[in-house]
Amino acid sequence: MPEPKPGTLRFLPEDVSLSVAPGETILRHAIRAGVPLLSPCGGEGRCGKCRVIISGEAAGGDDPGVLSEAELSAGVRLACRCHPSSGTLTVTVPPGSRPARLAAYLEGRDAAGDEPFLPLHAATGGRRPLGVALDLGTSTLAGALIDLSDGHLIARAAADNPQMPFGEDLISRIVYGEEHEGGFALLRQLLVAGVEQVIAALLGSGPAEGEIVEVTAAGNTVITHILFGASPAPIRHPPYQPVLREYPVRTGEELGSLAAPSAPWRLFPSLGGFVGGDIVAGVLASGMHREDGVCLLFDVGTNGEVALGNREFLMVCSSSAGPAFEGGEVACGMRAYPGAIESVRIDPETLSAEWTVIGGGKPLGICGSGILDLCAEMFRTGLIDRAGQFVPRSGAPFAETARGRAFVVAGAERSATGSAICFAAPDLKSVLRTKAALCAAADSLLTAVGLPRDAVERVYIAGGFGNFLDLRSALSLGVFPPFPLEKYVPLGNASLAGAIGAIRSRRRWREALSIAAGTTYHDLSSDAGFMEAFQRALFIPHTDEESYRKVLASRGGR
Amino acid sequence: MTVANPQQTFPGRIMEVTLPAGEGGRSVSVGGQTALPLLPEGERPNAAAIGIEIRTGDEDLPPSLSHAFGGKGTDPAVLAGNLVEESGAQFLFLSLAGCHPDLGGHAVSRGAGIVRDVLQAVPCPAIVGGCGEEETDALLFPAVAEAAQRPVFLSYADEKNYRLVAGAALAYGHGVVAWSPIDINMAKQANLLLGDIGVPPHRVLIDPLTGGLGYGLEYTYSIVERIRLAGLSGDAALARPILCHLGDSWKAREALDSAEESWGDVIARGRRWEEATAWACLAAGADLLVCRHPDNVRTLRGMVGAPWR
Repeated sequence: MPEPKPGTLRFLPEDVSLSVAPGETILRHAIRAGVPLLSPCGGEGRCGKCRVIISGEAAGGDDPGVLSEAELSAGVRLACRCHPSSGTLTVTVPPGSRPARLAAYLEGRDAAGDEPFLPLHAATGGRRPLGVALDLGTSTLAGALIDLSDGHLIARAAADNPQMPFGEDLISRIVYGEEHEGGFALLRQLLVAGVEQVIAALLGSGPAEGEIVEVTAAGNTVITHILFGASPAPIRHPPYQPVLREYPVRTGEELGSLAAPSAPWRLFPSLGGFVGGDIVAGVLASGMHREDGVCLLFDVGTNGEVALGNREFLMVCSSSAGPAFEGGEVACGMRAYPGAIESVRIDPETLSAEWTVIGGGKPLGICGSGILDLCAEMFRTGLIDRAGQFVPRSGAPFAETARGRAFVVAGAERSATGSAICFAAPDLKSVLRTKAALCAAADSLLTAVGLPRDAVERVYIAGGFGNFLDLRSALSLGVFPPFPLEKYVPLGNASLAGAIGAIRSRRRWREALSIAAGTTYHDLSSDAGFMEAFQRALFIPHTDEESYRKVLASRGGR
Repeated sequence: MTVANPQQTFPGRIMEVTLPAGEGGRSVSVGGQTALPLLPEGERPNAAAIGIEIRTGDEDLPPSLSHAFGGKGTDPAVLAGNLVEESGAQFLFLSLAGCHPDLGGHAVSRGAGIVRDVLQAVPCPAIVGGCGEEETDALLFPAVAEAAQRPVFLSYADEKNYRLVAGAALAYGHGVVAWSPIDINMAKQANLLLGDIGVPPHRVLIDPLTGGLGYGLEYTYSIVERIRLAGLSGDAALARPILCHLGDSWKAREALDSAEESWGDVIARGRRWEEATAWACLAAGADLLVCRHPDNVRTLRGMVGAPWR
């Protein structure tokens, strides 16, 4: 058979063209061209997320059963299943197939927000009553603007937490506040400035003229204390209790914000020093507090909080998981911003890594989903063993660095920083610790209430990371306990979703208050079984590997 | 009216492991049981095996041991031959402590030479231990694996060095002792790691780290018991024979200190300290005991045959 003459493949809307490499799928071409395209399953035709619209000649395109008749006739194909043939082919990547990780900090599902909206404020004189819902995260501040006359969401916006220079973690910020005269006041000032920036972005993006009449804010205990003007210092010292658990309603002016000076600010109540209002809001959004079946909620953030319960009881703990999946504690890690590697494949033959970068171009670092992908791929290709150590293999791009042996994800010539992006042994350890802590926290909660894993009916994953995570990759590493795939429900930014729910409905705000009042805080540092569960989970996927094998072997999932 | 004794049955069986002997020696099989020790039910095809340890290098012997070893020779091959013969030890545990930089700093080739000589002189099954210094052991294990002209067990592989030890063992057909620091999960993890690189399960022994009496024995007891229960309950990665190395009982002050006269004669005391540790390990479920005192080998050998079954 004569070799077909290579044609040209053009990607829209980027308008990137490249010559066709025979036998390669459209997805591979997209990766080579640097066109971002979702493929969480790694091009195995499982996830159906790499939908593209083709016009021109293409071969293959056999559909594993995810495309509808109408889609097929409209030229929609899976990029991983389709090969360009000799002619010219134009491929349009629709927005739904693009990785949009930035939205991860904003989008959130309110699984329980099903009630009709009851307006409490009326539009007067053409000015609409506006509500601002805020999620005050350790590293990101996110907000949403809601029209309180009809309940619709006008805009969302996010900004970095300006406190970041005073430490990526909360403890270093408390230390700063304790050790410097006026430290907490400065931190408060920065936080308020960040919040105002978010509010300004919200108001700027909406066409509506209006006045902010209400604000709800969900944040961890430390951030909420700082905003309220209470000292978070006691959280750092035994017995690690916060000054306040519930925060009286204050006006913006009293909190130091000029963006909404007369509006009442409702701050979500805290559950403990290390389990804050963001978890209350997350539980509120998940709706687990209304369910009959027992649910688990993972907030994959900096601390990795876990909640367990249903309408009868709620229990939370903080796993101190560490920020590896937020890109922290990993030398090459970064937030999911443009320039971050968000997905990684390792070729099992050449052992070199291919990746997709948010926004295209050369990579600056790796974000959480990329880190997870990278570890899962290294494990799949035998580059790390189950104890989380690198396995020397000939041809593998390992390098000896100042931080020990490292896997070179991108050589200096391929990275945007000019130096190689390396994933070193300590990075691998911190990923392993993070995942072990999450898993062990869930197991400890179940043990504390005497429930078997089977009793859990649904597992919510809050945090932007959850939206884009490939569950099979996550479970092949053992990031979560081995529940059947169909039990997992990603919620995205559930804290913001909860804050939005609470501003749209007074009933939901009261639910939040009762969640906080009725939740038991389980202290893992005094749980004798936690360290053992942690050690058990400090293995890939887990020392109890049989149960993971069962889950991964089963079909189904999302 | 008669009431039947309740009998606990387990779904699992501990893997039977055979320590092969040299020409003229008797191989030893351990494991294969379906029940906990000291109970009437279940099958117990093999009694616990008792071995003796010989250490190379410039270590001061505890008074009790220097008394017992007196006149038995200093050359490891001669000493091993005499002690095994005299005590009736079923296997020999040869520790190449002398290769440790602080205990003699023997060259790797000398360590390997000692292994060759000792294995020729003593036909019983053998386990060869490294010196405990990471860099030396990295060279020592491959050399020992090659020098041993018959299958032995290499001790020990842990989470860090298992590739090296298992690689050396696989290349020359030896077995591996999988070590973990009194942690049931790490014990399982070590076995899974060894399985991942192809060490067959019937060539693996579990060393859970044995604390001496008064110095952590109770932790070991609990872990040995839990490992055994997990193995009998069907966890294949833990259904392996357990080796308790009693060496730590010789680090106890009670076993060494001759100044404390009110504690009784140190020569008798040291031996008793090891013996007490040994009984506890047997009661917990150990399948192999490594003693240093030849009298203890004799005593334990005389007892494991009968009441323990």
